[in-house]
Amino acid sequence: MKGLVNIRSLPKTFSPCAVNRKCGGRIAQESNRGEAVAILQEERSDVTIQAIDIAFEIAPVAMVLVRQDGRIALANAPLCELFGYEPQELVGQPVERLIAPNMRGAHKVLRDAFLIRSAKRKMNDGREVLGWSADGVPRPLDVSLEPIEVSGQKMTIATVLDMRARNAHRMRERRIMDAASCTMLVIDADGQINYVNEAVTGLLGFQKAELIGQEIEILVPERQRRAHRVFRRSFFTSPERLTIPPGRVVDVLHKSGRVVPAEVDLNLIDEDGTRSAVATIVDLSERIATERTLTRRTRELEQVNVHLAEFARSLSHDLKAPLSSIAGLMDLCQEDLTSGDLEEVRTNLAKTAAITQQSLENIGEVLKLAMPLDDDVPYEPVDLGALAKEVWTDLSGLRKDARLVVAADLPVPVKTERDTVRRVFDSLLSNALQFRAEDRPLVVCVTIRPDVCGVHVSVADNGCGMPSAFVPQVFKLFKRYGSQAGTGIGLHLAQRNVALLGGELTCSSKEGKGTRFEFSLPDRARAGP
Amino acid sequence: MTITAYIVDDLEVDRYTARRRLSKSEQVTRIREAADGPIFLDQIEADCGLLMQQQTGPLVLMDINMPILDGFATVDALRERITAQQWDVKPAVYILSSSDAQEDRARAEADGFIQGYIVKPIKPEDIAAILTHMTADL
Repeated sequence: MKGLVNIRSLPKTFSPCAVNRKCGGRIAQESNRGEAVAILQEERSDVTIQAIDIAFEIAPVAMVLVRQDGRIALANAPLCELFGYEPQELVGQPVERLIAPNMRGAHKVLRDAFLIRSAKRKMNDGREVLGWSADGVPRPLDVSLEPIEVSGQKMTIATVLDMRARNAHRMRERRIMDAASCTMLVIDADGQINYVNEAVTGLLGFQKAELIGQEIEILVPERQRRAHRVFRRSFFTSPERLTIPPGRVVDVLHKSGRVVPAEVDLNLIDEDGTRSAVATIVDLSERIATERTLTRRTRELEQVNVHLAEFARSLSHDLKAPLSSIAGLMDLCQEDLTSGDLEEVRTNLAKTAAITQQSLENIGEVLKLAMPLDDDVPYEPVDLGALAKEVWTDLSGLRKDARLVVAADLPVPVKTERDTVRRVFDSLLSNALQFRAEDRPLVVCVTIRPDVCGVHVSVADNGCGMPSAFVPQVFKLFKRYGSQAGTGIGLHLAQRNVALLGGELTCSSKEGKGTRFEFSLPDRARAGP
Repeated sequence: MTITAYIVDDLEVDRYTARRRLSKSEQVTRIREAADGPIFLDQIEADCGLLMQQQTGPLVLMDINMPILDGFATVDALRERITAQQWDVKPAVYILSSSDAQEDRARAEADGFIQGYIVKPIKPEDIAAILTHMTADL
């Protein structure tokens, strides 16, 4: 709008009687109407005070004409009403009467400066003036100033807007924003944060006061700031071309310097010609963490399903296989009994008894395997060398043809799960005892040394070893090698237990020379609980 | 007529049962046993000259679940060896397993080299049926 008030609000027929009525009995000439219209349209700079008086009376907003000495020349009815004065009561009074007492001194200085260097002051420039009513009540105001020459004298027209309703509305908006659980920011076209709601502290660690007045890039990671400024400016000029796709994860900088993954929604608002952007920030940390947990759990479940399928298949075969062998032997026994070959019957019954006994042991092992692994064993300092010796004594019964050598190079015990490590040693040392070479005494070397993440353990024997082709299958459930083989469960369990401890069990072997198992364990004293 | 039979099984007791059953047949004149796939492949390669002179066979009773090479992998290796070395030998391979699983049967059926599938323990009538089948074309 070009003029001080909307020209369309002027009455089309402007009779002297109507003006006379409006002006409280003063006679206005028809020629003054043209002048009043010109004032309102800013078409004339040198006018008479009568013309301004008419213009003031027909203007719907509060207006005041101030002389060079700061005294009020004219004040219209809306202004008198706004400040609680009677018509004409303000004429001749210093304009500072309309200003809050604590700002009057400063206002005078500013007014003097305005006289020397007059410049238009427009509404909505963000500077609020605190007015003062006749009964001493503050009035928040927006004021525009227009220098004007009236009958050769420099004067100033001030148009005054009561900001109470707008401020109340803004306060209501901000209370609503503060009640929102997501973080909301209002940013002006220069990228300055005008408002931010309470939720920001929970999300980004900043207090509201720390952010208001700051450039929005304070919340953008350093490496993205330059690009962000460009995007932000483009947004204000053509918002339709710059939207953040829903679901896009945006990095927002926390006060501590860490990056918070968030979803940001941008909206442009236009308030009396002033553009602002409202950014709504929703924290995605929890959602992302949940998604990651879900993905990990899904992978674990898939793995469990694979294990279960393998387990079920192996179980059905390996529990059935001994019964098939027994059934075959029993058929032969019946035939041998009929033909009177009692010696063969005796041999086959002995084989049957041995298979039955082995099957019983297998079922016991399978039941152990079917039990869930205990994942709630407490960590404690464990002397791995002493534990290996303890397990060896239980297993070997101190037999003469088998010897354990422990080489431990650890300054302090390792913090880990004692019972789980015991089960691993039990499987590995049992395996060594089972696959001895017949032509030499068994020597098992357990070597324990520190490594990057904790401790490295090696269990090496000089037993019969196995063909390299079998090594990749050695940990597979129910996989056995040779006639001395057990259930095919022990090493599978050992691998699972090492994995439970956070390590990986590997095997290397040379047929006729021996086998070496190795694993690394994280030291929980270093890695944390 | 003379037939050489191979029993490929890691369990000694199951090889014994199969051996007893085969030894009752007059047509099976030679029985060889292997505790795993590679041993069997070495045996059949060594016997190749002899087998090519025989009118029928050989017969192979193949277990599935064995260390190093399982039964199916051993059959694959046998087929490759026959093709690569151009042996004039047509083995009659029968799966002999304690598994009655449908997927094992389906895999055996899909393999053109495998003639049949027997669930342990092997019975005299199984041997009779195999030998009838093997000599039917003669």
